[in-house]
Amino acid sequence: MGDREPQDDDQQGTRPHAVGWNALSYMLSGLLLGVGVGWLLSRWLGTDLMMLVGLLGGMSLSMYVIWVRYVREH
Amino acid sequence: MRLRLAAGEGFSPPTTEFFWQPLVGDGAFAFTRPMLLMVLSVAVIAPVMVFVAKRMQVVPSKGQFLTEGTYNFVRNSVGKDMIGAKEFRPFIPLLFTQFLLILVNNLFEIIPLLQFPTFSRIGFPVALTLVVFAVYHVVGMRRHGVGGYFKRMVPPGVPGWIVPLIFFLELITYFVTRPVTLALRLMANMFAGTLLLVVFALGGEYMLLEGSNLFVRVASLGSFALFVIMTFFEILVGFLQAYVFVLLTAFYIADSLAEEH
Repeated sequence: MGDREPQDDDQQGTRPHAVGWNALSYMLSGLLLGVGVGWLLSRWLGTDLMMLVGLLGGMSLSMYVIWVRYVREH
Repeated sequence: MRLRLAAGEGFSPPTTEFFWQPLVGDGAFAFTRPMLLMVLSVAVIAPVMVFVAKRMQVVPSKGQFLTEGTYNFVRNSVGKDMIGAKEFRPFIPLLFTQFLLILVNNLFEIIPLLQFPTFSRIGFPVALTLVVFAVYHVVGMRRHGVGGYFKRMVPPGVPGWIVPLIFFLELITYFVTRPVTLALRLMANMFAGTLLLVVFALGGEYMLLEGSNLFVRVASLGSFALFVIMTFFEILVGFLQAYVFVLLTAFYIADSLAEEH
């Protein structure tokens, strides 16, 4: 947080807006992927619990990718 | 109270039926009101742009000033900022055309008599999105090669066991959620805004004309006031959605071109 010059944001211009909108796409992807995998696992293991695990896992994965791509690199 | 009084008399609120307005014919091949508006928007934008471009002067006229302002905004604040000073030029025609087309069609929502946002019908944003979809994939594959394009979807420096998961996540993002959200965001915003305007207009009219007592009839002023307020709000939404659409187009292109991720 504190190690960035304030002017960095100005130089990036409108880019932070796009990153924000794009994050929505990643969260939805994580949701789809997580629920999809969770559904398959649920059918395989015969428990609905895997849906919840998949949902949370997918969202976590999304946040991780957003962090790797747009936070860590700057 | 007010709503219940109005609704109790048999007021039927507008439904999604409002958005299906065939002018000629019916069914899948009908010529509809948004189709007419799309043609009209092109018939307005193209001559104006040609006219302004032909009469470029060092000291700009009002029209040239406005056009140049819009162009510079898309060129610099969207294209150059997103794609980078080296490579943004080839994409400016696409971005500027998209911005103007979306903006004019969105503003049709509040122009008297026209009063219909073309992009509230999903087919129109889908068509624009397909262009964007093709452009950012083709540009990326030409830069990195087809294999390289898919390979670079996974950012470097992540633990090995998570790589397949991230690859699928990126695949869904690139091929499903990005285009779907791009089209749906535009469509849903215009759709919802228009529905609100129609509800306030028709509800106010019903309360004024059919209200059971003086109180309800006077209360219709509130509905009309909200109609006016929302109309100004919709101008803002129209600009914002045009901006977000080109912003994300540029962002996706930049993402496909970027060397390292």
